[in-house]
Amino acid sequence: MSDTAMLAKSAPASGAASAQEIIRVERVKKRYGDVEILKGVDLAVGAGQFTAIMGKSGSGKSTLLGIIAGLEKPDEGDVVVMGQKLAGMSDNDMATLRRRSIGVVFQGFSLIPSLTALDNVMLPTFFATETSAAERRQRGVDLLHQVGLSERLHYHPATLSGGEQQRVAIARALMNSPSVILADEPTGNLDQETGASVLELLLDLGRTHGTGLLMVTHDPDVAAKAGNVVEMKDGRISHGHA
Amino acid sequence: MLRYAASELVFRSGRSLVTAVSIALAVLAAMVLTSLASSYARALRVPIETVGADVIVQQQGDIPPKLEGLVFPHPNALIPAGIVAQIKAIPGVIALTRAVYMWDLEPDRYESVLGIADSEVGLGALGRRLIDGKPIAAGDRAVLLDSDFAGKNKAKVGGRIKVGVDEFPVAGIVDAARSGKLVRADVYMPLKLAQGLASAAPQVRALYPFGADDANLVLVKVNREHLQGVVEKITALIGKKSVVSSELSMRDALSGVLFLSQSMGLIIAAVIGLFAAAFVWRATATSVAERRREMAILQAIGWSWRHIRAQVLIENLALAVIGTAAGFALALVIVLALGQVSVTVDLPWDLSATPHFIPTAAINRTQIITAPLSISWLTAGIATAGSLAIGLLAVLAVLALPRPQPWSLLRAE
Repeated sequence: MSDTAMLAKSAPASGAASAQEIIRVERVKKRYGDVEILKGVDLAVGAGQFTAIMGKSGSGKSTLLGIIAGLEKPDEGDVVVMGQKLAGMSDNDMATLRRRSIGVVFQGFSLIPSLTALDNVMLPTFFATETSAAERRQRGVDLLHQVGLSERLHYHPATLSGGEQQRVAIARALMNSPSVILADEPTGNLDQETGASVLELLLDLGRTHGTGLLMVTHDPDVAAKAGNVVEMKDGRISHGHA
Repeated sequence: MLRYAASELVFRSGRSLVTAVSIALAVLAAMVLTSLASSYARALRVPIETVGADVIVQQQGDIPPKLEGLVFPHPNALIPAGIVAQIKAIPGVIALTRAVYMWDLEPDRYESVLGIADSEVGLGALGRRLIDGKPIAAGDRAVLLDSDFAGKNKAKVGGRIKVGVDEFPVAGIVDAARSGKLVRADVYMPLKLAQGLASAAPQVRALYPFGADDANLVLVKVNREHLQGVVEKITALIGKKSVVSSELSMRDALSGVLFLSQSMGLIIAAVIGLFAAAFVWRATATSVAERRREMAILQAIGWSWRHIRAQVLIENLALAVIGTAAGFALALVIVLALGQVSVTVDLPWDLSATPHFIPTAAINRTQIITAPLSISWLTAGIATAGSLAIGLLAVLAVLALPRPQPWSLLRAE
C-alpha cells in the first residue's frame, strides 16, 4: 500500500468521530537556531478520535506534539486545547490543564525509578483533592489490572520488562481520565510483538474510556489503525485530514 | 509527596547518606565545640567565683622593713579610698566590697586576717557560713575564726584571740571553705576594725600612708557585658603595679588553647557548616542533574514547577532533619561520654592565707578546675536552623538554575 493510499484510508478506530474539537493548532511555527522545524502548521483533533501523525525524522512531528502538550513553546501561532489557549497560560494553569485533560506516553521508558508501578500510576493524582486516597489507589489498581499488571503493583520499573513499563505508562496516562492521550512513538523502543500488543492496549483503553489519541509514529501499520492520519514533511502538514 | 520523598531518599541512598552525614557532622561540630567552649568558659569563672567577685583588685607593694606584727602581703599594697571611689563610678560596676588583708607575724604564730565590709561577699557571706556562735556586724569589736584555724589553735566561741597587739572576743566559727564565694583567711573582722589595726601597725605605716578609710583589696561585682572595659579602666586607674584579676586573666593565661574561646568554637563550627553546605549543594546539584528527565516527566503528567520544587525541598528537608537528629544524638553521646572539662591554671591573684616565706608553708597556686559539659539549647536551635537553611538554600540554589526544557528531554526524535 502506498503512503498516499494509506493516508487516504480513514477508518475510525475509536468509533464515530465526535464533532467536538479538543485540539486546534493554527499557523504554528517553531525554529531551533537556524533551522525552522515547523513552518506554519494547522491541525484540528476531535474528541475521541485516533489521529496519527507520520513523517520522517526531523519533519517536526514530535515538536508539534510537544507544543500541543504545552511542553514546548511555539514561536508563532496558536494552540487551543479543551477550549483553552495555551499562549500566556501560567505554569500552574498549564500543569492543571495537563493533569486534568491530557495523558502522555513517550517512546523512552518514562517511569520514576524510585516508585513502584502503582505509585507511578498514581503520580498524576498526588495533588487531587476531589477524590480520596483510597479511591485514587483503587483506580490505580484497576488500571494496572486493565493493562494486565495486577501481579506487578509493587514492582519497581527496573524489575519490569520494556513492554510492562509502557503498560504502566499507559495506565498512568489514563489515571486522570484525560480527554486525549498524546503518544510520541510509544512502541518505538519495543520489539514488534510487544509493540503491537501495547498499541492494541492503548487503542482498546482509548475506546473504553472514550479518550482521544494523537500519536506520532513512523510505523504505517500503526497509522493504518488511525481514524485520521496526517503526514508531516519539512515542517508542514503535507497530506491528511487536518 | 512524602511517600515519593521517602522512596527517592531510599533509592538514592548514596546521595542521601552524603547529605545527611554532612549535616550531621556540621551539627555535631557546632554542638560539641560550643559545648566545650562554654564549659571551658564556665571552668575559668570557677576560681574567681570562689572569691565571690567578678574582679579582684590588688596592687603590688614593697616588702616591709621587718617581718613582724601586722604586715600587708606583698600583693596587697594600699588602695586609697579615692581610687576605690573612682572604681565604684566606672560604668558596669554593680557593687564593690572593700577589704583589708593582712598577715599577723608573731614569733610563735602567724595568722591571716581579713577585715571586710558588710556585703554579700563580706560579713553577709560569713554569717551564712557560721557553724558556731553568732555573726558579727560592721560596728562590732569581735572576730570570727575559720574552723580549720580554730581547730588547730583550740580556739572556742567566747574565748579571745590576739591580732597584732590587741585581743578580740571570738564571736563565732565559720566554715569558710563551704561553697566558696569568700576570700579565705584565718581571722575575719569588720572592715573598720581592720582599717584601725592597719593604720596603727608599724610595718604598714613604714610603707604606706594607710588612712582609716583605705583598703588593700577590692572585690568588684560587674555587669559581665562590661567586664573587659571595667578591667581596663581599673588597670589604667591603679597603674602598672595593679593586679586586676578576672576570668579574662585566666583566659589570657591559657590563650594557646583555641577551645577556650567560644567565638573560636563558633568559627570552627561555621567553617565546618560551610563545608557541609558545599557538600549538600553538590549532592543536590548532582541529584537534580540526574533527575532532569524525571522532572520533565513530572511536568508532562501535570506537575507544576512549584510542585517539583516542593518535592525536592521536602526530600532535602527530610535529609536535614535526619542529619540534624543524628548530629544531636552523636553530640549528646560525646558530651555524656566526656562528662566534664578540666583545666589546670595558675591563679593570677595572690590571696594566700599562708605567707610564702613560712618554711612549713606549702603554697600551691596551681589549681585544677573542672566544669560539666552540657548541650546549649541555644546552640542546638541555631544548629537546627542552620542545617534546615543548608537544605533549603541548596534546593533554592539548584532550582534557581535555568529550568530544563522538558520536551527536549522527552521527545522521541
